[in-house]
Amino acid sequence: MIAKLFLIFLKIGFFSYGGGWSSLSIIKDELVNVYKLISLKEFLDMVSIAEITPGPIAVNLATYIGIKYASFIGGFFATLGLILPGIIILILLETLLSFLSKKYNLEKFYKSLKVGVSVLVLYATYLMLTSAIIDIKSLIIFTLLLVLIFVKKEIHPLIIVFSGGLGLLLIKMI
Amino acid sequence: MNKYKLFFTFLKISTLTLGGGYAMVPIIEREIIKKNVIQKDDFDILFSKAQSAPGPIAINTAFMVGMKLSGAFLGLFYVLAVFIPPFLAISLIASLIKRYADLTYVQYFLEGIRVGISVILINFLFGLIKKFKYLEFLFLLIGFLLIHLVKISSIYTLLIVTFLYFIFTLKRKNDS
Repeated sequence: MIAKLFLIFLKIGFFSYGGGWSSLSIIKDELVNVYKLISLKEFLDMVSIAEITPGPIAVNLATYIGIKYASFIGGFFATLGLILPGIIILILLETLLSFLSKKYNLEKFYKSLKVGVSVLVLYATYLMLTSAIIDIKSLIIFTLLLVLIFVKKEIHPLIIVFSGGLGLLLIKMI
Repeated sequence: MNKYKLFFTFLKISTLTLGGGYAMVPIIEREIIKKNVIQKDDFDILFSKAQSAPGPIAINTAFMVGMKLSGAFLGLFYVLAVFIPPFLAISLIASLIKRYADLTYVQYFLEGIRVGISVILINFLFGLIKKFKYLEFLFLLIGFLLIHLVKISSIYTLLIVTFLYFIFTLKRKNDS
């Protein structure tokens, strides 16, 4: 099981370009649909929890799944699998980049990758929106937050705790 | 500034930052520049490299800071610092989740957070597609249809869209 977890997250790590938000869509597909390690609801709960705990979201998810199926060792190796491809590629890039960028048009490749990544972020946004806005209460929170970032022009990290608090507060009102 | 002491800086940042890797990078940048370890320009280059590899952005950034200062070994040392706090936090929480996640109040809280994440995602998405022209939007739409309606997995959709866009723009350039 530990080897399987390691390999699943190695695969996820290898394709997780563009940081945590685009990898959400990959993680959901692999864990919920392909390997059926967790349900969609558990995945969504864990993404929310990952947002209010320290560290990158993908790391939190890998650790959680690892611990769930193979205790702390599993958590360690799942996370290791997730971060290893990036680190190996960074070492390779450092040594090969000057050579590669002379020979090939890497800029074009990264631009294409950005379009691919945008698709994943769009899908993750769609997934989150459709599971988040389920009643009048959540619609009110959503509108409030949209107005807030429109006025403030930036997102404070604590917006997450704020929205969770609103989730609690509005129960009694509606 | 002793470069091994930076370990504790990364440990502190990773412990105190909520909201994932993208919330962490600006704080790493501020701390590193404040401590005069790396100049702003160098940090920008290093960050764009960190972004060009897959994996969590905060982990890659920590690794690249170590690479820049000394080498891969120091990079891994910093990665360990970013890794420890979330590992401990999730270890603690994993057992609690089973017991408490389905309580009504916890669910309301998590539902609220989900709305917050949606808003962050919308904001992030707009940042990504800000400079897109009609061609990119077309690929974005095709990609979304592939993933959502045709149910092709995210990894394959990423590969297909990236590859097709690459080929398509390569050809167009050659024609003109």
